[in-house]
Amino acid sequence: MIGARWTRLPARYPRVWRGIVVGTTFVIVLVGWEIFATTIYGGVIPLPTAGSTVEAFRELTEDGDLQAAALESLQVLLAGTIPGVILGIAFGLLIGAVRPLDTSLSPYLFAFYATPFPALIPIFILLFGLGIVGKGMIVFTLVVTTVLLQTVAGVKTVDARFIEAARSLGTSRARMLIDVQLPASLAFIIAGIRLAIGRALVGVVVAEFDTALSGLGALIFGYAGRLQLSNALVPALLFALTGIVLAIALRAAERRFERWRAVGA
Amino acid sequence: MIETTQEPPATVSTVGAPHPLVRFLGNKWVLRAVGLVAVLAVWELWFSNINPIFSAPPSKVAAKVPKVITSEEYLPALASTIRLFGLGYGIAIVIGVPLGLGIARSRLLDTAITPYLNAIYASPVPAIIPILTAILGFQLTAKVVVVVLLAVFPILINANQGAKSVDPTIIEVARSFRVREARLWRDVIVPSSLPYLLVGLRLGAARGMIGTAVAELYTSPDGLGYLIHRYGYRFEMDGMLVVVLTFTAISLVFSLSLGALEHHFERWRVKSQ
Repeated sequence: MIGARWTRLPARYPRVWRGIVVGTTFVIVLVGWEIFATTIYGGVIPLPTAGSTVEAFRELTEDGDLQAAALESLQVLLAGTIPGVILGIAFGLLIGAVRPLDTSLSPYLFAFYATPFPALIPIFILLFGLGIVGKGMIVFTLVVTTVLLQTVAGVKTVDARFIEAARSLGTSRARMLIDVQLPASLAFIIAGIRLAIGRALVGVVVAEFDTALSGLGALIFGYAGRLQLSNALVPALLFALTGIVLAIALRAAERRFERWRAVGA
Repeated sequence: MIETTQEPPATVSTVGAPHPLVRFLGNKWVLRAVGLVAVLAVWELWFSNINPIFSAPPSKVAAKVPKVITSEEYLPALASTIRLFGLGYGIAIVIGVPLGLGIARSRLLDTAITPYLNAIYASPVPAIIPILTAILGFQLTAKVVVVVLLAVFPILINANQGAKSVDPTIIEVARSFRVREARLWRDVIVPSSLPYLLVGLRLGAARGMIGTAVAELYTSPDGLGYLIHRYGYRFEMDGMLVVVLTFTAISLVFSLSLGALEHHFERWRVKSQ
């Protein structure tokens, strides 16, 4: 750490101090926002405050609107993510292990990955419809390319000594893929799933804006259109919470499998 | 929290059987050409089996390219998209780099703020777009805010990690020579953080492009986003794809050039840790 001395935290009980500092930030931001929204900001549309957002949450859950919309979004997310992860890993292992496939296909996969994907959403909706199929296909495509490219990167960077050792024991190509390259790439694959879910959540919410028919995105769009911003903020926060929780969990898993990458670590 | 560049791959040497034909087929560019043909063939076959209204096989898209590019809306739309991206990305850099480096200079600030930066980075920011447009209107401001909100966090977080990676001994030495803060930033912190800053700039550009596309499609249609909608209303899938490919090209220019810079400055990364 490079900070000046006066800004350092006490050395004892670091976790407690950390908790206090992080909690204090939260309170400061909330109070600051409350003051801004109620007194300084003079706009016509009332800004959501902590109180009004909690109130909106209660209202939306009592109606059951929030639960119903969340279920719709979750269905889309799962329908696209599960096959996307499975096929992404499978093709990623194949392409990563077979050199000519990697050389011939990876540049185009990367170009597709680099495309700002919201631009593709209207095309997917034209092709596959406004329902769960269209949105599921968007999520699937985002997940499969992200996981695939990360798996390829993982397989290509497997420690050469693992491969040499397995080969000297007479391991077949197929066994090598399952028993050596897959476990050694697991940290990369999980990183891929983490990135993929981040993109998939954006994909779902934007697709739901586009169709404005179902799911949390439609709820946000509808309430914001009627200028009920607190009600619109509740589903947006639910999306954010989903992203944060999944990112933390997958990050922990990633660290856990990091040690499978190195020889004699 | 964030992906940083990996060490170069330790690849297994393949024992070659250099038959001339095999060597020809193994050439990088030959393989890439074969890959391109395969990708186009799958695309062509797939599109020949769906509703002909939406049909946009590569042959048709290629034929459409000159028509789209020479249409009188294309260049203004492209200019408007690049202006939005440039504005948002520029602001994100101006905010993100100094703030990220600065936060790392204070342990207290760092502890207080970084968990929230990581949290926002992990959440789907476009979810609040309808709320932003309700408050800020549908003009340029709302669009720029969307691009900044998407691009700024990877830049900030990577700058922060870069500053934390600076070797404390160097700072001690600099300080014992009574180097002033401004000089310390210029000569120690910024150069040492450069590899991280470049990772942040690359990821920020990618997300900024996503933000640009979302803003132009889902606030008030404008620029290339508007063109996508317009071709969409007329079911001209080939036209839509030409515009999407334009987005791809802009994105690739940034991604590849920043990637090359990153590669070049990789050796500046502080190794002692």
